[in-house]
Amino acid sequence: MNEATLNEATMDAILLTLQVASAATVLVLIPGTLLAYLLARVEFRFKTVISTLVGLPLVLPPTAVGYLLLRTLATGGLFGRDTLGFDPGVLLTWKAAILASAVMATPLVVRTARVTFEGVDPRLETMARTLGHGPVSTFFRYTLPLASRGLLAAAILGFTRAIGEFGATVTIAGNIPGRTQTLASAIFSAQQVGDNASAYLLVSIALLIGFASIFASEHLSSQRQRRHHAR
Amino acid sequence: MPQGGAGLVRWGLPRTALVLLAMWLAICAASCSTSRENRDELLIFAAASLKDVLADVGNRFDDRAGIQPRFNFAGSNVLALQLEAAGSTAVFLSADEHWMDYLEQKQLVVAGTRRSVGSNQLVIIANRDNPLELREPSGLAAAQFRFLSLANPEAVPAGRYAKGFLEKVSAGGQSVWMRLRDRVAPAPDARAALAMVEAQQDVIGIVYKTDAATSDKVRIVLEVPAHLTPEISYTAALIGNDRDSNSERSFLDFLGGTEALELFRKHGFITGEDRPGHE
Amino acid sequence: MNSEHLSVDIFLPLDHFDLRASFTTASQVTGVFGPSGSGKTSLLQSIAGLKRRAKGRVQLGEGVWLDSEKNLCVRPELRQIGYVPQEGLLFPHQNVRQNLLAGAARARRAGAPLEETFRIVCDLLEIGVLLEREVGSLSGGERQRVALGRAICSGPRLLLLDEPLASLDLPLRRKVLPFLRRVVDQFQIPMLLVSHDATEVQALCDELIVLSNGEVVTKGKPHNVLIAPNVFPDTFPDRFENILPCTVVDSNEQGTEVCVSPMKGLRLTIPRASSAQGQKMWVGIPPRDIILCAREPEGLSVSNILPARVLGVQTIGDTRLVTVSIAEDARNLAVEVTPAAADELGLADRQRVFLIINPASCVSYESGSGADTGFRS
Repeated sequence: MNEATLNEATMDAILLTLQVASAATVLVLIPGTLLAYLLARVEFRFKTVISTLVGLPLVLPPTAVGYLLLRTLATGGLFGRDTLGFDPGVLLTWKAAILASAVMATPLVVRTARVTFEGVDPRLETMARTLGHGPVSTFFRYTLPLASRGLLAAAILGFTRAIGEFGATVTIAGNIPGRTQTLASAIFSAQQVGDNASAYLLVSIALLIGFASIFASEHLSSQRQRRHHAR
Repeated sequence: MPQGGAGLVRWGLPRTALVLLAMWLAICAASCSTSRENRDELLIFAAASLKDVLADVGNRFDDRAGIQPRFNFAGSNVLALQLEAAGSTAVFLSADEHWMDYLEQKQLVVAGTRRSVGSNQLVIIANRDNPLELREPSGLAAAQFRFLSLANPEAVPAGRYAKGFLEKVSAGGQSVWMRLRDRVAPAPDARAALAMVEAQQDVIGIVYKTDAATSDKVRIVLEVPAHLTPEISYTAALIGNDRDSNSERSFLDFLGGTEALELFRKHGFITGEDRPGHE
Repeated sequence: MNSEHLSVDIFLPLDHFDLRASFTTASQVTGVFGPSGSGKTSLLQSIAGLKRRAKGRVQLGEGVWLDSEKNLCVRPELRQIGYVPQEGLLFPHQNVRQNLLAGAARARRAGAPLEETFRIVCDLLEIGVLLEREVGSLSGGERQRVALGRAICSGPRLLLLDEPLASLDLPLRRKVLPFLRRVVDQFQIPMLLVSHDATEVQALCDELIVLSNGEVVTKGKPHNVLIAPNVFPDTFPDRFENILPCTVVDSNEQGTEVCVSPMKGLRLTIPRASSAQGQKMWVGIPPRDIILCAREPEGLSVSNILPARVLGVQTIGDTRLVTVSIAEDARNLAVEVTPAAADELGLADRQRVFLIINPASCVSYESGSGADTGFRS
């Protein structure tokens, strides 16, 4: 393998990994935050069931989750071509990579967000209501800002999980350099043929990205800490 | 009019949230539309262990035919399941017959396109500091070791071949496999099995010769004779339907040609004439 | 005085008993008094619409906020009620200014003069200098004032204060009390004030209801209610003070002279207080520190001698509480005497007696500047 293609493939993998992880994080964050808030504040039927389902990808091996997703998106599956009437065009594309990362990151994001919301004093939300704010206004002006630190942590957690995601990704998105090969699957490929030099290089890059995101989150959260201290 | 300190953020937070939500929905909707850009691509599903050799083959094919193939590398089992689920038209290069048979049963293999592309040899390896000597395979039963590291014998081709080999050899009235079963340590794949042997002196392993060649921390104790292993065969075929499959067919043909076979040999695989007992 | 008619009839099941509070009031400041656990906070929260299981009827003026018979229950954000909880509960992620304006949207919707109210609140509660400060850096007293200001700036038609001074220590309470008084005088918003402090209640309330085990047991003028036999034992007799509104006459090193009855020119000397002539104040006198004398005393070391008439005697536990009147334009006082002394003195109705009050036992309270505090009796 000549040097030029090695670097190109590496750059592709890095870029794709960052794009997929960012997209997956955003994809999970919006419904995940809402769900976490409901789980934290509201009692409803099937609450335990839903909570367990959300936590499932954390408990199962990633390849098992990947297999389930594969079956679901397969031609004859629940969201497959035959059932939907058209080919969703997800399998073996970047969309599948995002889906896999999103699913695997969901339990971390939702749980962290839920704990965060549980830590927001509900009496403050009540105060906002007495001052004329309806439930939606209360959520956006008071609950979210008070939860912002924890939600940021949830997002970072989801992001770093997505960066490292491999098992489910390779199953439904494949390991196609330039198209669906992430850092993780590039490391796998290099390791499979004993190309330790490439493997170490890719691992170092992955570590670098991990450090950078955690450093950023520490920096950002310390800024907010000043504003949220005590009452 | 008194305004909040961080006025912009707080004043606009509900609005910003609504805008973000709208953007998110739009992106979801847009990405749901089917994209056809993959159609014209030449996609090769290949076992991960063939990465290096196929890189060369792909480049050479590009020189000849002007098409640079895209590869999807994973374990043969995963590839077979993906092909079954996605229903794509593609070339499948499996590390064994088993997964190709699986697809054939599902009637996904285009008739007449299946062919053997090469073979490999099993070797028994030990850590380079381990002085173990073996004259013949049956000696394994008496050898001193803590674990025998293999790729998972249930799913991974390399492991299945290794198990088949151990079942064929007998020592003291029993197959070696039965004698050593409780000391077998299955690894996710052949690379992991190799890594275990690299790491521990009291672990020996059975991997492909091509795997062993990549590491200087292990030494080959014994090369397994071909007649003792099940037929190790890298199999290729066209999967899916036959329409619009010109580039796939030319690649398959190229795989069987002399240039490709030479590249395989260069990377340590056994091809055609060298394989005893096969056509 | 602008006050609307507030009518409350609430039923709410609680842990140990049911809240069944029913009362009406047209006073500007109505106190809710009672021991802890009697349901005072639940009552306020039900009126504010924060207890979904509360049933009954709540109406202020023309507006009906709760009517279970008609299945009407207005959401809390639509009730135009300012709620000041015991803990203040300021929003920690905002500064003081943002907290004060938290209810600005509702105030504007209600057509309240927000800018003017904001300005007045900052002056009155002396929080103008705190506007840019973060909530976490405020002291306890400052926090309470901001919480109060926040409720006022939200354009409320009713203010609910839940033990607003309870979380402050004694010296701080004396400092913050006048601010509450100023708010009452300035804004004329009807107020429901929960307290278990007899001093606060006498200083601020026009009317007092007493809650016990979820039911209203008494209702009336604060001083009278507080010395009733079924209430007095709960008011921590050790700390109960008679609260007398008065005006400063003169102040020097020896002490301050205040006038407790302009009509009769009655004066008291109290410990030196930093007040200007003509300023309104309250004086607190514990019942145990008033000595009754059947005849006009002579040759005493103190000069605080007030003629009074006996209005009644109550037996409370193993002691007697004598209610006396010093003037028509002054509040009644409660004097504690032993049963033996009561028997000896006679203490018939309308009997003339003299009160001897040791200046050192008197505590002075700032009453907040501004309008006439009223000589409520």
